[in-house]
Amino acid sequence: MIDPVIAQSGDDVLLEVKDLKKYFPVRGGFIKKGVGTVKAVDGLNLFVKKGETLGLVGESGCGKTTAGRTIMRLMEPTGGTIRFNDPKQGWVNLEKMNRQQMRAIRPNMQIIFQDPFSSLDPRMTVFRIVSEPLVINKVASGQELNDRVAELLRVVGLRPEYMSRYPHAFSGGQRQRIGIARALALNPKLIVCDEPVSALDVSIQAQVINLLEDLQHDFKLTYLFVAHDLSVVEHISNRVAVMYVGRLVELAKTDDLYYTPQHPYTEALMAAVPKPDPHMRDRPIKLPGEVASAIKPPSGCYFHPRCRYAKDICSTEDPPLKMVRPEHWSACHFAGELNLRGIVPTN
Amino acid sequence: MSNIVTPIPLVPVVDEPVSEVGQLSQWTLMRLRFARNKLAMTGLIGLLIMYFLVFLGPFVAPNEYTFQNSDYIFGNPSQFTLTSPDGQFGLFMYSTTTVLDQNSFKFVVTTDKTKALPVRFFTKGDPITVLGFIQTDIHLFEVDTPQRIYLMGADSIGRDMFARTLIGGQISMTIGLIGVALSLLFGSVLGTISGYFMGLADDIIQRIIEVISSFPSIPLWAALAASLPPVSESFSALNRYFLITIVLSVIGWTGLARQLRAKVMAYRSADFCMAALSAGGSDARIIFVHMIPNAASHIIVSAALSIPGMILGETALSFLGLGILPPMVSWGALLKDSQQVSVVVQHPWILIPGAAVIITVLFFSFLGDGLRDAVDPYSI
Amino acid sequence: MSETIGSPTTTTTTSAEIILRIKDLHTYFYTDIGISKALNGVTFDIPSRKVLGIVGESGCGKSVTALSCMRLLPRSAKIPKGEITFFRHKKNGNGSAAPVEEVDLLKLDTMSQEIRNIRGAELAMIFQEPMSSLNPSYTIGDQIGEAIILHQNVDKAEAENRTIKILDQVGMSNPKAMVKRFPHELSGGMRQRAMIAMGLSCNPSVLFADEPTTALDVTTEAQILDLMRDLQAQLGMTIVFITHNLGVVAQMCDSVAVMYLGRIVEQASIEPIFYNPKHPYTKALLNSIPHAGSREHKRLLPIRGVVPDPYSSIKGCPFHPRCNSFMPGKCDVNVPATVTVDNGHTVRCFLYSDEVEQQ
Repeated sequence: MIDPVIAQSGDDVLLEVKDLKKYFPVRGGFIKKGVGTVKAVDGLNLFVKKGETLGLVGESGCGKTTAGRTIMRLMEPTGGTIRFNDPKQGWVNLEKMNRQQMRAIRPNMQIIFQDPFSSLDPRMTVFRIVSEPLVINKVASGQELNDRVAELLRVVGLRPEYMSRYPHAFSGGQRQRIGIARALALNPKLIVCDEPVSALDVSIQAQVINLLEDLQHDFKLTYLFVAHDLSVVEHISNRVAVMYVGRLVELAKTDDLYYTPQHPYTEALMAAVPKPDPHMRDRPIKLPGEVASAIKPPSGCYFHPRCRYAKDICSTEDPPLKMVRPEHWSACHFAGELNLRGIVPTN
Repeated sequence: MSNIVTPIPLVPVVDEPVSEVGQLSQWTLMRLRFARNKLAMTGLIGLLIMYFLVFLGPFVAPNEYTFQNSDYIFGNPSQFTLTSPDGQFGLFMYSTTTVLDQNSFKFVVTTDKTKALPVRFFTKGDPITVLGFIQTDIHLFEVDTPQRIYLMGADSIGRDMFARTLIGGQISMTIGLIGVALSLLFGSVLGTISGYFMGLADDIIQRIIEVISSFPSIPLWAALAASLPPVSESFSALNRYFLITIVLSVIGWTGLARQLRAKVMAYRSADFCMAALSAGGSDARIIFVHMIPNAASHIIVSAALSIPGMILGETALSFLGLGILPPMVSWGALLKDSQQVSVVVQHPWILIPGAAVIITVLFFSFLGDGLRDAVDPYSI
Repeated sequence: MSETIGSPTTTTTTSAEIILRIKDLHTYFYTDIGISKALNGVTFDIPSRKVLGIVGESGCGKSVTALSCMRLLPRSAKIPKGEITFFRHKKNGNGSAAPVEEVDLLKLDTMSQEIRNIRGAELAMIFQEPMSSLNPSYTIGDQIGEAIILHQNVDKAEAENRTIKILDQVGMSNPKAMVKRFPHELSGGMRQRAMIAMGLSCNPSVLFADEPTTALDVTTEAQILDLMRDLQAQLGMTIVFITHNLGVVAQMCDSVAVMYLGRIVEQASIEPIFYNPKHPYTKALLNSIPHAGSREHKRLLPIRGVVPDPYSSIKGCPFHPRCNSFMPGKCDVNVPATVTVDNGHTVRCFLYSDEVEQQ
């Protein structure tokens, strides 16, 4: 069991996730009986401070997207607690809320999706897409609704004249802006950004990243930034959480995590980042074998079969989340004792 | 809530080209794509003409469809000429005479090419009812009595095959539509429930579908149709017609339900439905505002593609004597006369309703294929 | 011919250092909507036994360039103009002065035996999605072995031995068991290794790698890049590495060609591209990406607008609508010619020369 040491219900915290679990049944066979469970999120701990960007990184299948959606209650959690510091109601436990109660919270937490094509209903005009949250929550109607949508489009850098068009007329970057305008419509506090730039071209990525940064500054937004691109996450995040097979392995301020990581998996990730600087050529850290299966994870530390520092204890005992130094947690038995390299190669 | 203060120099408005087709809705784009497909347009226009003819049938046909002409049993299709024997120009029909063949003791209709009657348009003839409420005796074209025009010849008791084919089309060409509409109703309700709520409801519905679709369809239809009561005082032919459509749709809905279930399941995890959910949207909103409109085009396509199957089903049932029964006529019921090879060999025009079935089914297939290509969102 | 006199690509290099010479290559796609001009006069040399990166955003024509060289373009594509010369080194005999045969790849019929002999044995290509080039119904061993039998005239047993050797070379653990596996039984990284093994099976002179790591996770990507670098050094082959990721280019390549809308806008060895870029597009690309590991948190400088669609035609330099150094009356009138600014550093921009591309 990971000891839920991260408990920060202070006033500067917006969201606190403790021991979050999301299991999917694996169905198979003739009568479709459950034959196992995929532990997509398996005891995740993290917290997000007001006004910050927390990067949530990990490789495909590590459960970061599921974690983001479960936190927003777009998927039902299997276990754990999700506490949200609602501006009106104060601290609330999202996992205990029913649909009606969630509806009162939803305006404060919104989501931006990865795929700019599937995230916009192709049968709706831009106006209907952006106004939908306002209509559902009966915030505005008539001319007022029209004005709000125009304002939102202007805020994300689109011409309000385009509001009667359909999404298929827009490029990927423009569509992502429409998705951002929709997320902003209800004045949320927290926005879960689910790989918001990974489907975009290099030059368009920068436009959207800058837009997200500007909006955060202007509207005091808090981002949970789920992504696999470590360069983008380093650029945009204040703190970063690293996941491996459904669990948090390390959480720290961005520079601490990138330059002095405290978990061998983070070290391997950092060495692997392709740095756009020919002087920083680097040999990767060899990771033997494959990413552990979320159906049958290994015993002890999930990373131990691939870890070059693994000792006997690693295969038998779950490493607890340890605070290695202020604001820096690592789930490694030897956190703080190993001399790990960061993103910059050390010769 | 609306207290977003727009900071002035926030983001420069991006001046990117926005495609002009963007003002067109998906439906408009589909219509444009459909209109470009020649085969599909042929199907559509062909069907429109056929429906028009069929519903104006009593007016279009020169004879009333139940009128029995004992002088014209198995009479040939009438023959026409553009010049009368006395040298006039116009549309003329050669007159016919019926004589008893001394060898076979059968009445034989012979065409007399020395006499021709002018074809007259919009003249009085048999009293008819058009579209069920217009009482008239005006026909589109006629010749002077006692001669009559038989475009497609006559049947075993001297009724006009042309009139009967048109009237039969009223049944055959609507039974598919009504059957599909019923299938659509069952299929979409059950498919949506199955795909959206999943779990136990899904399991039950899926097993039912599997059982139904594992039956061979014609024997199942036949069995169901055979269990319907015969036409009597209390059970009109019209009642039978509606029950037959239900029989046809009992099998038809399963395919639609499956397709809709797959669509709904795909949309369930689609990001735009997630976005509606995260904005606080209800199940009803997600289903009716997002899923159904998106699935609508696919529903229409599969409906159009399943109409031919229903038409063929009705034809088969009626041909076997299990579907539409007299006094109602359908193409299948008309084809019943052609069950004897000897009749077909001597009077091949008895098979003309079969050609009508083939043409209708082909037109519906063209239309369905065209619709399918038009709703494909990955081509402009 | 758009080739300008004095262009370095035709004068300063000799065929001994060059394996492929592409001259004024035009590739057009004929579609329902119109003609998409994917390549508009691509001219560059591929140096032998080096890793050349081709970078650019989606739709710039980097994959089409490789497919044109491989003669693997779809039916809708035509090459109205251009030359692709392949300097074929005879493989038999280890003599240093091996004869070099010049083959114009565009003169060969796409279905001819000769192009098939060259494809696979001399020029090989690997793709982003391994599943698209591995047949799901044959084992890895069958597929690699088939290529070996086809090109190397050996029997089945020998082919299997060689397959195992190659699989070992690409870092597959337990290669003897791997030959019996089907593609779907392998993880993404392993599939990509199998595809590289297939590409290498006949020891080609040039390997075109089209975004081979884009679909992979970052740790797997790093291992594959490391493997490709090792193999390149070991086997002395030429790799043409196509990617949109400047980080991968920096890690992988010896020289770089930057493409924009069907033309090479800048070509140089790796260091000048990153530390002294000349073309405004190259500069803009470098400024628009986050520099991981640089400890600086500068605001990104996006390139304005979007890549125009390939059906549109832009007068003058195709980058001028998005360029920060746009000179009205010049950039929007003529297309700049490729000029040399430094030893082996060529650029197509009016900032460096007024030379205009001859049509």
